[in-house]
Amino acid sequence: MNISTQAQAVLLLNAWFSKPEKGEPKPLTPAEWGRLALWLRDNKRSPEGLLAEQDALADLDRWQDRSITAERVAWLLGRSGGLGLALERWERAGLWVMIRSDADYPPRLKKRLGVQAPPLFFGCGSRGLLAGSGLAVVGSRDANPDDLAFTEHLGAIAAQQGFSVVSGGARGVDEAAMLGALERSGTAVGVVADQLLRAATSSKYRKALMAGNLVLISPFNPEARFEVGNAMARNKYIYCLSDAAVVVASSQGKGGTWSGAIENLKRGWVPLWVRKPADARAGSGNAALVKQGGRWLPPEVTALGELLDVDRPKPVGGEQGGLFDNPPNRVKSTEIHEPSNIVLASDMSEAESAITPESATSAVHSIDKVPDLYAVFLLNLAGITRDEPMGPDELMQHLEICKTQLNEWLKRALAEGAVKKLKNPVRYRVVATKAETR
Amino acid sequence: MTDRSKAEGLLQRALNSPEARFREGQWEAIDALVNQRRKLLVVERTGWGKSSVYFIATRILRDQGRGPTLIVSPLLALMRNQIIAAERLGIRALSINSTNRDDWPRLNQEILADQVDALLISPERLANDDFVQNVLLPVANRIGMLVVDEAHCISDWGHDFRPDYQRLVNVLKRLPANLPVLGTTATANNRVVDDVLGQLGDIGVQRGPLARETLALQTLRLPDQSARLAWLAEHLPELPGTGIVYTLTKRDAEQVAEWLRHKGIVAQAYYSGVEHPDFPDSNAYREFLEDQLLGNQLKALVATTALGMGYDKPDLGFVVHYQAPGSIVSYYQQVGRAGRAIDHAVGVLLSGREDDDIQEYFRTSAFPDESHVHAILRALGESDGLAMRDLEEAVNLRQGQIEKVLKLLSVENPSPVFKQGSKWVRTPVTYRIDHARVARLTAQRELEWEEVQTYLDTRQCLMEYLGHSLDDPDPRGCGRCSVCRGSPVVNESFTRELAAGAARFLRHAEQPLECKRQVAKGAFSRYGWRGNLAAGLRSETGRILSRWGDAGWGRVVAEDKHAGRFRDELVSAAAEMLRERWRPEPCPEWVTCIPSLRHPSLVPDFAERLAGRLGLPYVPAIQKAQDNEPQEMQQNRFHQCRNLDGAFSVMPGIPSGPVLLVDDIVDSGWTMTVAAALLREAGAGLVWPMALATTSTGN
Repeated sequence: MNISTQAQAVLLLNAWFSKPEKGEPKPLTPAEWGRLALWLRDNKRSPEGLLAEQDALADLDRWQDRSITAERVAWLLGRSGGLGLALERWERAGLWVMIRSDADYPPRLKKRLGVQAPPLFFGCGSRGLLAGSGLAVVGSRDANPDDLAFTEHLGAIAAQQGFSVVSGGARGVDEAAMLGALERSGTAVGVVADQLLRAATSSKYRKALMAGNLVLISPFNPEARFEVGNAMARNKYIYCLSDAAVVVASSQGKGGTWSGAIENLKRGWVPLWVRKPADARAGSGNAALVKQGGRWLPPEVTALGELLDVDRPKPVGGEQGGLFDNPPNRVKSTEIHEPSNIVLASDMSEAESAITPESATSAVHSIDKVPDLYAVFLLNLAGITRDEPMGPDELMQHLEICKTQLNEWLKRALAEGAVKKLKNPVRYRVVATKAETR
Repeated sequence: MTDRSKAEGLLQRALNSPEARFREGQWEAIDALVNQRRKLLVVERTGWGKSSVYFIATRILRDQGRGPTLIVSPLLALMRNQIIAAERLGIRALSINSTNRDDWPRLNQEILADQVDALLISPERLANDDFVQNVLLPVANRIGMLVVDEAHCISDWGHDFRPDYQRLVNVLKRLPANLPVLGTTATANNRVVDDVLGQLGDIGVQRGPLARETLALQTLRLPDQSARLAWLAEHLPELPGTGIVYTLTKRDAEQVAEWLRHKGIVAQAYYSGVEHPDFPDSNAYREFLEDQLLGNQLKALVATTALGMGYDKPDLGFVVHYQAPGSIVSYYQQVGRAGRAIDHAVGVLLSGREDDDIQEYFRTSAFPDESHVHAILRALGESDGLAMRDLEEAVNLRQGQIEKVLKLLSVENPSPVFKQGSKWVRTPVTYRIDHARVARLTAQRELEWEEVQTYLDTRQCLMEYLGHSLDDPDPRGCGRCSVCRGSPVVNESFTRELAAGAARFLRHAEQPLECKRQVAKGAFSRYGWRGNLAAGLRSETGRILSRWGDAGWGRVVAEDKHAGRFRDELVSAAAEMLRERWRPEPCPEWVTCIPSLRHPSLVPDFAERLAGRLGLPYVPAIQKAQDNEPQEMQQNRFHQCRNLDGAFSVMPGIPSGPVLLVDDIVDSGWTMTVAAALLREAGAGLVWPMALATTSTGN
C-alpha cells in the first residue's frame, strides 16, 4: 500500500526521522501544527500542496508566525530522503501511520482533545480496535504482587465483558492489565511512550497483534528512547481513548499515574475509579485521588458498564472547588490562545462540532507543577539505562545536560544508592528504582 | 529555472571542451530533474553520458541551495573519468563503503557540514540496517536528489533481480514527490521498463538506441571445457587490446584465469569475495583488479557477473563468454561494455555442455526452500529474537541457507522478520510464500534461457537479434558479425596439442584441503574438545583431487561412487598427484581411511590399493564407534560437530609415523578434522588428509 501524499506531508512536518543534529530545525509541535493547519485552511491550501506546488512557501513569509518560519517549513519538507528511509524501515517491521484525516482515526480523540489530538500516530496491529469501547487501566511500573494480581483479574473481566483494556504498555500495571485481557482472547489498546517498534516485535504481544486482538500506538518516533516528557504527554491519550478509567496504584503528588489522573479529573474526560488498597500504607496516592474527585472502585464489580453510567465528573474548579483542602496546581498554559476550529478541510465536519472552548485553550504538553529536576534526571536515567548501562559521555548526550551537572547528580545518586557504577569502561545504571515513571 | 545554454556551459566545463554539445536526451533529463523535480528513468547505452547528466544536475541543485546527491550504484568507486568531470564542476564526490569504514564518522561530519556534493553508496549498504540507522539516516534529511544506477535491477523481470534493489524500491515507493530521482540503465526491454513504472508509479521514461556499431559479434558452441580452454589460449592473444572473459561461477573464473596464466597470458580472476594476501579485503583487491584492467596491465580479467555493473572502460577490446549467461539482456549488458570508444571490438559467446545445468541450478536456487522459511519463522516466533549463532542451533540449516532466507524475507515490506542490533526478531506480520510469483519468475527465466539458445544458433544478424530482444526502437543488420560476414570473426579452430594440454590441466585441478580449527561451542562433550583444537591435534594441509561431477576427475568419481568401486585410473591419478605435485614432507609412512557403515568396503578398498601403489602399509586404524546420522545431512557447524562427537575410535597400537588419511568425498571437512585429531591423540605422526572430490559449495 502506498502512503498518501497528505500523510507524507504530515510526516515531513511533524515527525522525527532520526536523532536531530545540532542546529537543525525541529519538527512542529502539535500546537504549531494546529496553527499551520488553520493557516493552510484559511488560505485554501492543503499540506500535500506544499509538496507539489512550485513556490508553495513564498507566501508563508507574509504570515509571520513567530516559530513557523518559511525557512523552517522548507527544511522540514526537504527531509524526503529521511522520510523514505525511516518509513521503509518502520513499515517493514509491520508498523503503520495514521493521520487525522484517516477515516479510522479515533473519534474519541478528536472529540475530547480537539486541536490537541495528535496529527499522526504510528501503530501496529488492528486499527479498528481504536474505535471500540475501552476501560483504561493505569498504575505504577513497580506495583506490588497484590496490585498486579488484581490488575490481571480486571483485564480478564474486561475481556469477558467485551471491553478493550486501554493502557500504556509499560512494565507493571500496564502490562498486567493488557496481558490479563489478551490471555483470555480479549482485546487491548496500548499507547506506548517509547520504542513502539520494539514492543511490536516482542514475543509477549506478537500473538495478539497477529490475531487482531491488540493495537499498539504511539505519537512518537517508533524508536524513541524513554523520556519522561513523552511518557507524561501520552497519558492523556490513554484516558481519551477510553470510556472509564481505573487507577490501580498511584503515588501521591508526583509521578505519571498521579499527574495523568489529575489531568483527567480536571478535564472531565472519563469517570475515574480508584482501587481501595488492602494495605493502607501502600498507594497513599489512591486516597488523595479520591479526595480530588475520583471514586472508590466497588470491591466487586459485576458489570463494567456500570463504571461508565455515572455522571461525568465536572471539570475541576467549578462547584467542586470547595472539596479541596489544597487547591490543585493549575495547568500552566504555555501556548498562546488557540483558535477553536483548526482542522483540515478533509476532517472538518467532524471536528467542528466536537471542539469545545475548554479543550482548545490548554497546553499540549502540560506538567502539573515544576518537577524536582533531580527526580526527573533519575527517571530519565532509569529509562535510558534500562537495557544497558551508559558511559558519562553518552549520558551527557542523551540527557542534554552539561558535565558538571551530570557529575553532581551522579554523585548524589551514588551516595543515595540509586545508581550503580560499573568499571572498565565507566558506566552507570539505575538500581532497583522506586521511581514511578508514569 | 535553469536554461539549456547555461547547462550546456556546465557540460563544456565538465568535459573541458568548448565545443561540447548535449547528446540527444541529456538536456531533457537535466531539465526534468532540476526544473520540474521529476522522477525519471533513462535507458541509454553505456557511454551515452549518464554521469554528465547527474553531475550537471547536482551542480545546478547545489547552486540552488539543495542538499547533496545520493548515488546508489553497485560500483565501488566512481570511475576516474567521472571523478575528473565532477571535479571540473567543483563537485566534491565521496564514496562510503565497506573499505573506508574507519572514515565514516569523519565523512558524516563533512556531509553535515555541507561540504559534500555527491555521495556514492552501494545497494548492499542501503540494505544494511546498521548502516542506514547509524550512517545514512542522520544525513538523509538533507539529500537533494537520488540517483539509482543500473535501475533495471529493481524489476522483478530484470535478468538479475537483486534483493538489495528490492529494498531500494521500497524506499523509492515512499519518497515524497518533491525529491528528484534519476534511474539509469543501459539494458531494459519494454517488459522491464513497464515493471519499473508499475512499481514506482509516476515516473518519466526516456530511451535511446542501444546498438553498438563497432562491435563484431560471434557465437560458438564448444561442449567440452578443454576445447574452450584451448580456443581461449589460441585466440585470446590475437583479440584487440584488453578485455573480459565472463564465467558463470567463481570456481570457473579461478580455473580459466589459472589456465591462461599457465599459457603465458596475463589474466586474473575477479568475483565477489575474491581475495589476495597483499590486500586488506576483497573490495580493495577488486578495485585493484579493476584498475589493472583499466590501465591495460592485464590481457584479460576473468570475471563473474560481479564485474560489469557500471564498469566503464571506453577502449575495452573484447568480451568473451566462457559459458552462456541466462538471458539476452544479461548478455547484452556484458558484451556491450566492449568497443565504446574504439573502432573495432569483438564479442564472442562460447557455450558448453555444463551451461544448462548451471543455469538450471541458478533458477531453482533463486528462491529458498519453503521448509527452510517455515523452520526459521517458527524458531524466531518462539523467541524474543535470535542471533545468527542461536538460529544455527535452532534449525539444522547451513549458514548460507539461513542468510538467504533472512535476506529474501527482509526485503519484503512489510516483512515477517526484522533485524534489531545483532538479533533477528519475528514481526507480527503474517507471511505466506507467493507461489504464483515464484512460478511466474521461474517460467520467465526459462524463456529467457531459451532465447539465449536461439541466439547461439540464429542465422539472423546477431546485433539485430539482440536489438529485437531489447526492444530497441530501430534494430538493423550490422554488417560486422559472423552471420553478416558469412565467416567467423575469430577463427573457430585450435590445435590438438592445446586441447590435450587443457584436458591434462583440468585433471590436475586438485585443491588444497584445509581442516577445521575452531570447534562449535558445546558440540564435542564426549571428545572433550573446546575452542581451538590444540596444534598437536590438527591435520596438515591436504589435497582434494577434483570437484564432484567436474570436467576433470569429478565425473569419474561420481560415476564410480554410484557403481560401488573406484577404478584403478583414480588410484593412479591420486598416486601421481601425491608424488608429482603435492609431495608432502615428511612423506606419509602408512595409509588409513575413514570407515563407513553404509559402504563398508568402498573407501578401504580404494585406500588399500592406493597404499599398494605407493608401496606403503595400509592400516585400518579408525573404527566407527556408533551409527550416527549421515554427515551430509548436517547443515551447519554446530550440527556437523555434534553429529561426530563419539562417532569414531582409533584402535590401539597404530604406527607412529606420518600417515595419509583417505576419504572419498569431503564437504565441510569436519569428518577429516575429527579423524585426524583422534589419530594424533592415539599417537600417529603428522596427518595428511586426501579426498577424491569435494561437494562443498562454499566459495
